Amino acid sequence: MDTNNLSCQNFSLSSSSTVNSNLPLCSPSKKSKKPLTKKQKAEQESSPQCSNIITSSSSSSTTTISLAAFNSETQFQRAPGHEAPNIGYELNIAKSILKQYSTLSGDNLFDHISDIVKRVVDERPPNVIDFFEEFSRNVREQKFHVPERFPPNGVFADCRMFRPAKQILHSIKLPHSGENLDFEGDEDLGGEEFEAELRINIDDSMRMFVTFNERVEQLQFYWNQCGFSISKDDIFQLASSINRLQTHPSIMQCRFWGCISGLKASYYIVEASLSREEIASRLTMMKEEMREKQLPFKVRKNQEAKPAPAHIGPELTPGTYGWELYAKDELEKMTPKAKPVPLAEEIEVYDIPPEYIGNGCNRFSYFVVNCLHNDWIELPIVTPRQIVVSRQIKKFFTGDLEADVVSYPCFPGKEKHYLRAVIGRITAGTYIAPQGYYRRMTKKEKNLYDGINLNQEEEEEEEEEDDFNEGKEEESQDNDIQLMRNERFEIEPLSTLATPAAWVHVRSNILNQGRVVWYDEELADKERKKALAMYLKMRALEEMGEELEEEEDAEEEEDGEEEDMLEGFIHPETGPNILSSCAGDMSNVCSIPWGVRFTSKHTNQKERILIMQSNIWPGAFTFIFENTCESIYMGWGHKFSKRNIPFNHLPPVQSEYPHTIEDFIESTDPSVEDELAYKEWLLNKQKKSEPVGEDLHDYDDDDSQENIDNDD
Amino acid sequence: MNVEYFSEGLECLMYCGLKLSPEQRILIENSLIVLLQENRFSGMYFWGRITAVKNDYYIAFGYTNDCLKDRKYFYSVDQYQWQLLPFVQSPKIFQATILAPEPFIGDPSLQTFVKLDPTFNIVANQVVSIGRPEVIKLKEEERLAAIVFIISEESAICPRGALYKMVDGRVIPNQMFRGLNDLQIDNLSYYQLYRLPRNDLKSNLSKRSDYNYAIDFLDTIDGVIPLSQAFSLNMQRNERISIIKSCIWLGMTFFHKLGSRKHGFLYLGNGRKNFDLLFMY
Repeated sequence: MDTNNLSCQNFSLSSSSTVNSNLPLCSPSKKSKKPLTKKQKAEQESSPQCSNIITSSSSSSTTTISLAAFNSETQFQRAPGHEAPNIGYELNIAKSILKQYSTLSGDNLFDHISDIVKRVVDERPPNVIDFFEEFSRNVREQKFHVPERFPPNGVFADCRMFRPAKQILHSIKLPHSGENLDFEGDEDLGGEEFEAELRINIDDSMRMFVTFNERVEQLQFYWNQCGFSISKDDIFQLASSINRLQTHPSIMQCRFWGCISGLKASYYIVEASLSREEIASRLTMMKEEMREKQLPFKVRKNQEAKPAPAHIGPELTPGTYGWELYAKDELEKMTPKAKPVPLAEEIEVYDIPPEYIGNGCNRFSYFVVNCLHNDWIELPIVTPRQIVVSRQIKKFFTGDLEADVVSYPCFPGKEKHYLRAVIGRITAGTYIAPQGYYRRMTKKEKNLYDGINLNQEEEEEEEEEDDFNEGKEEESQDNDIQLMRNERFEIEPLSTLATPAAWVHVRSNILNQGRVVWYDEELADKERKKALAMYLKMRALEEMGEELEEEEDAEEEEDGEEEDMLEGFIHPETGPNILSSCAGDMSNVCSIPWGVRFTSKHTNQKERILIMQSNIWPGAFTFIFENTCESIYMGWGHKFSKRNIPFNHLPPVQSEYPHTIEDFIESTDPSVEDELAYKEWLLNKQKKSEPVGEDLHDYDDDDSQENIDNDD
Repeated sequence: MNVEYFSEGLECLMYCGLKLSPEQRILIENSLIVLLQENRFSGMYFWGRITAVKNDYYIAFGYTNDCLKDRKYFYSVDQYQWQLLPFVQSPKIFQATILAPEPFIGDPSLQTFVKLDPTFNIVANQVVSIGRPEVIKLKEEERLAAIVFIISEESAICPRGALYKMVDGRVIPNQMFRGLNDLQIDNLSYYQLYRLPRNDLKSNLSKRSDYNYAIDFLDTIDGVIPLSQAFSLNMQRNERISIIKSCIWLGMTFFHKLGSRKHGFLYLGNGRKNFDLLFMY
């Protein structure tokens, strides 16, 4: 301020010599008008440098200025009795121009400029001259917020961060939440013990089967080193929410699978395997449901073979002119002359059944969440059809599990089904480990895993039998197994691992059919036909009241032969086995399916981590460091495509119902009388048929009755 | 992303799932500062990474006078030696870049041959003649330059007010920029494309009532075709950071902190345009 002040004075003094000559003149007048000048000083505190000049100038002009400052209407009047070339006077005029109040906003330029100068001197922003307009705009904007007169926020709006902050606090379940305080002493302990017991139950037999690395925060360190991870704040929340999931009694083990970005929100995904009890209980339900679904349609819908016709009597189909001229008896016998109305033929389509929970594609369950402080939502099981269709489409995830998937071919399900199918495909394609990191289970372990507890002797016998039986089974079921971590695995030097040939897939490949284990559709079809035939025969026999045992036996024999015949010419689909090398990966879009990276090329050779990144599924990574090997997916859930994915074309428009000219004959509309006559006739007919159909309520029977009539 | 707040920016951009490993971060940050010094730039930005088969390409750019017009792009394979990217002018190269089916290999001097799409000409008498597909020789360095140019043209973003046009026409970062506020941050019309405007100045200005010549001369991203499908905006970290991901160039992520001048974009991807975008909603 002072510097400005000085410069102003310097300017006024040096610019014109008249000021100097005036100065002695003005000193006496200053004395006489002291109260006035004081007042002025108080008024113009915001512009001290100018007030100084004013006091140094003649008194008469100061009064006019003060008037002008108060009253915008006052124009600068020429003060009488002054010589024209007077610097003080001209300064005053200039100032009064600046001080003109705007008729729109009530501001004046003088205050604004002094505000700007004040701000510049106070804040010292860099290069303010370049942004002067912007700066000046800012200053004006802030002038409206007058803190003395109004509270800073007259209406207090919720701050953006408030809601999520509260949710996070809520999800952590801090101990001082009030209500729980009383119970904590007894209940919680009891609960913990109970839980612990449950865990122990699972752990005893299953501990050795836990292959997932459940420690997220530890893994986060490696992810961080590798250069892919979720943010630091989130990882703690993730760890605590995974912990919540782990302690659930029906979950055996779980691991962080990765993240799939969506348009509005992204999904955090956890892979979990359920405990044996949970699987068993779900399996019974699922099996029931599946059996139901695989039954032929007619068997499922027991009695209702045909929908009930709308009304009795000949339809008003065109064909005969002047039908109303015939006598009523004759009319009843008449059949309309026309092509029968085409009925939609029911083609029963059976989907390939999904694999049971705990097997194949549904071996693991997946839990997702949008915000880490929410509860985990389990995704539904995946069906082969969903996998097959998801391979043909490419969609963005929206972040809403219940959103529709609008696509062609039509995707059977909501976004959660699509998400589940994509997760299944990614896991099957990109979950890899170095050779020897995982191993197959031995038979003993397998039995233990399946929960078969046998005595030693029995076991031996069983094993023998198994050997005998499984010769065939082993081949077909080879892929659908749970692997175990190899205790004797020793890390090779990373440089030898830096080739896809050293890595193997540790999740089973999904066949084109959409299943891990091939499902014989034709066989199932045969079986269904057989079941239907059986069922129909049963019904027929029930009605006839005969026995059927003998015939059944004969049938079974026949079937046996048929099956043998069938097996000869159906080739089950095969794909790469589990634990097959990554070097053999084939893709018609991507010539080099795996990329190899080290976290440190130049510096930290000792502690570097090897990363395998998939080019087929961009965003899928696997890292290995000493004995830690983990896969993670971070991406959009889209497979790599060379240019664009070959979407299916819509099928050609269906042809119309084939017809000739006679099929559509124009005729005059029936008159009101005709319609009345028809109604009356209908009523009569219904009355007639009632006594017959009293005990037979089904329309079918009525129809047959009528048919007989017609035949007569 | 400005090198000034490199690590902080990377933290904020982690919502795309990817970031740099510690070694990469240290090498890139420091070598970029050196690059800034050597070239006497007034601003240095890390642009991102393009995944290649053997080596990844790291891209950076700097400017001296005008942060839109005279950007100089650099690439590096080893993260500390930066080479100037060539300036591509031929439209054929751009065409070939877009069509090139093979991934980047990681060798800048590699030459590949790209078959362009056949051209269809309708001659005067309504006969459509099919031109032979042209084969273009494409050097990987040129391809890289072209793809970087295209990506930054189409999906690089800055918040409204971050760039300032001076009276002499130069565009520089706005020192007075204090960040978008609560009401503006989740609105796509408050974000602008970080490129020379393609729309008419008048049409850009007339989009908003409180227009400002020095700020609103850039194209806003809510007008990018396909409308409202080209970008997806999320609020993260207690809704304090807005994350905008480009759906056209998957891998392009932008962040802006609420009420702070910090913002930046980063591309981490394989340099493939998402041609299926229209089928994916």
